[in-house]
Amino acid sequence: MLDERRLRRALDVGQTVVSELDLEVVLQRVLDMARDLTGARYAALGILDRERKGVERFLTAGIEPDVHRAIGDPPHGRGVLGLLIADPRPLRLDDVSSHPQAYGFPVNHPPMRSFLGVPVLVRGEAYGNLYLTEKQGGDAFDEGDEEVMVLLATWAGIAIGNARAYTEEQERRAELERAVRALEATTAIARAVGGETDLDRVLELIAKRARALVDARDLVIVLREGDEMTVRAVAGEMGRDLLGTRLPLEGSISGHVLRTRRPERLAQVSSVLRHSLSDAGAARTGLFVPLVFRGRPLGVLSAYDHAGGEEFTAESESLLESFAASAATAVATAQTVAAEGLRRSIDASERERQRWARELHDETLQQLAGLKVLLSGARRSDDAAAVREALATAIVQLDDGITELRRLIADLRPAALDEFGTKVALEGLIERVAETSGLAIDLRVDLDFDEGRSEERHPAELEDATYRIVQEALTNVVKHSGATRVQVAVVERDRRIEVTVRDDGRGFDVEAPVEGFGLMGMRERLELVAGTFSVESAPGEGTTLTATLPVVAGRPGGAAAGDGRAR
Amino acid sequence: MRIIVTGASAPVRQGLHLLLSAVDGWHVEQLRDVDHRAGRARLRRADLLVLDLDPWPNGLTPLRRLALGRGTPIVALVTSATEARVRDALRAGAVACLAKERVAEDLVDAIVSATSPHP
Repeated sequence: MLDERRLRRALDVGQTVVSELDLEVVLQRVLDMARDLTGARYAALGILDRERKGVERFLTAGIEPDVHRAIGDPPHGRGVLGLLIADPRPLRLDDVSSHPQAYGFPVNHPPMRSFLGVPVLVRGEAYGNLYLTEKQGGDAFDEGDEEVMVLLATWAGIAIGNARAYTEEQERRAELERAVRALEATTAIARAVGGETDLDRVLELIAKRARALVDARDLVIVLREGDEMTVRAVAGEMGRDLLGTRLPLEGSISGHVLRTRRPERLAQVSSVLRHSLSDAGAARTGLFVPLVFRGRPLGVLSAYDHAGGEEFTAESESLLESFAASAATAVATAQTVAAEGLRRSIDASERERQRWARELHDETLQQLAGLKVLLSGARRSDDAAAVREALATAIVQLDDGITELRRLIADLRPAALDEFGTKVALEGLIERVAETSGLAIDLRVDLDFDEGRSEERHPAELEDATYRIVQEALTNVVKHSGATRVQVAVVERDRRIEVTVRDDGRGFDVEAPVEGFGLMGMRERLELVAGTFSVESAPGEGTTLTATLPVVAGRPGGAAAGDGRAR
Repeated sequence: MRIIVTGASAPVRQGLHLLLSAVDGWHVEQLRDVDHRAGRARLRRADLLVLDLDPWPNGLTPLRRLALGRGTPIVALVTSATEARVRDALRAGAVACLAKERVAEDLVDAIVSATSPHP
């Protein structure tokens, strides 16, 4: 019978066991408690396999490690141990080796006679069996031992159930956290990139975010360009001088990742790669993830050396893969925008070239052809007075041609714009337009550089766009408005240049479906520098055109920040 | 032969006048505006017209109108004698279309050819 002392002890043990949540600690503690409560020299716990037909794990207490090694493989659950598996009820034996089903002990196994086995159930299902042998003093295990072991096995079942539930919960939590981190990784790039469509800026943001995400020393983005790959962004310690470096598709890890569209983790980067960027930063480990958009490999994110010194983990790989999926969308979008911008730019240039070709033909070439007709006639003539008159006409014709050519050259790229800046160039433009059209034009220019509020001129693209907008607006006024007076204002405030051209002409219906070539040209020119424009007009009420050009260092036309020219 | 040279450019008219007046027996007049009443009267007396079509394609309209008249042959002049422009000029009624830069070499022959009776 179970005496009061052992009952109390068993209750204490139960509390101790069930309060533990680490499964391995619980199992070890159950074995120790079993020995303590029964006076057994050896205790073991056989954990059943999935089919509950054999032993998957066999934990022991009381057997020294060297004895363990000498015995060899743990039992598989046959013989007497198997009795409890087949019939999960307590089993007490005075001499285990004399049982008809005993297999005998292996070589080097310590001698064991007395035996007590009890099943351990977890939530009503067989989990394993608790085995005790060699009760101290050579006695057999008694009924009290069996009762306390049944009680301990019950506690153990509860504790194991709790620990298993806790472990599962922890795993689910970890899984959830991984999922959340992956989701955060994908949304992080969306937040970071925002509405950004400039490819270089997008790649820079992706490189920085990706590097932080996997805690890498360096992160490099290579994009596929034809039959090669080019380094387009670098974050970390590797220098920006890597930008533009070309890598072959064959024989490089990035090329391999691009082709297979599978990530790679390398413990020894330099030993694997024939063509590697790792040399630049003496990288040791690497994590390479493809950027794939709708099945199209765009490039590779290459992370070098975990900041903690250890290798990149599978979790880092998974995170960077999730991030790369979202990043690829941003890259593809920016590439599309860049291609569209380039196409628009080429179209605009082509139209510009056509316009100059037309102007040269209609003006200069016709003048020269007429001049040739005139001089050819003069050469055939015997009338000296008529020849003199023809020569005089030719000189006038030449003067007109020279003037026209100068106008065309000034239109193409006013020298004043390069040499003196926007204000002087605009003053020259206004003077020429006023002279040829008879318009009264008021000009107000208030730009930071011209007014001494800034030491640096705007990038050439922005100056050019500002000049062209005014020029094209005035051309429209001259051609279509019938105006007598025009007010032109070019004012810089809050990192924006606002161009206003207001005339007193006949105006037009802005709701009319057809947009003149001039307005379309202005719209396209402004789009290239991320600018906008609006037109206010009504029949008989003149027209006001307002264009806004953002002043972002290095942005207009994609020019670098260093393009701004100083005084 | 009475020849009228007409078109928008005064230097071209002046040069054509000098060039064609050097040919014996050719009487050449300049006409700035073919629509002017006095101009129309002179046109009726002309044996041949030399019409400057520039600035292209402004000269095609008067060319079509003049060609529909009494059948006076018209030699057209253009700055760029591209295939398309020459074709347009001939379809509009010109008997010949020359590039201005070839006028000194080819115009007289073109006029002779245009005014000679066909075999």
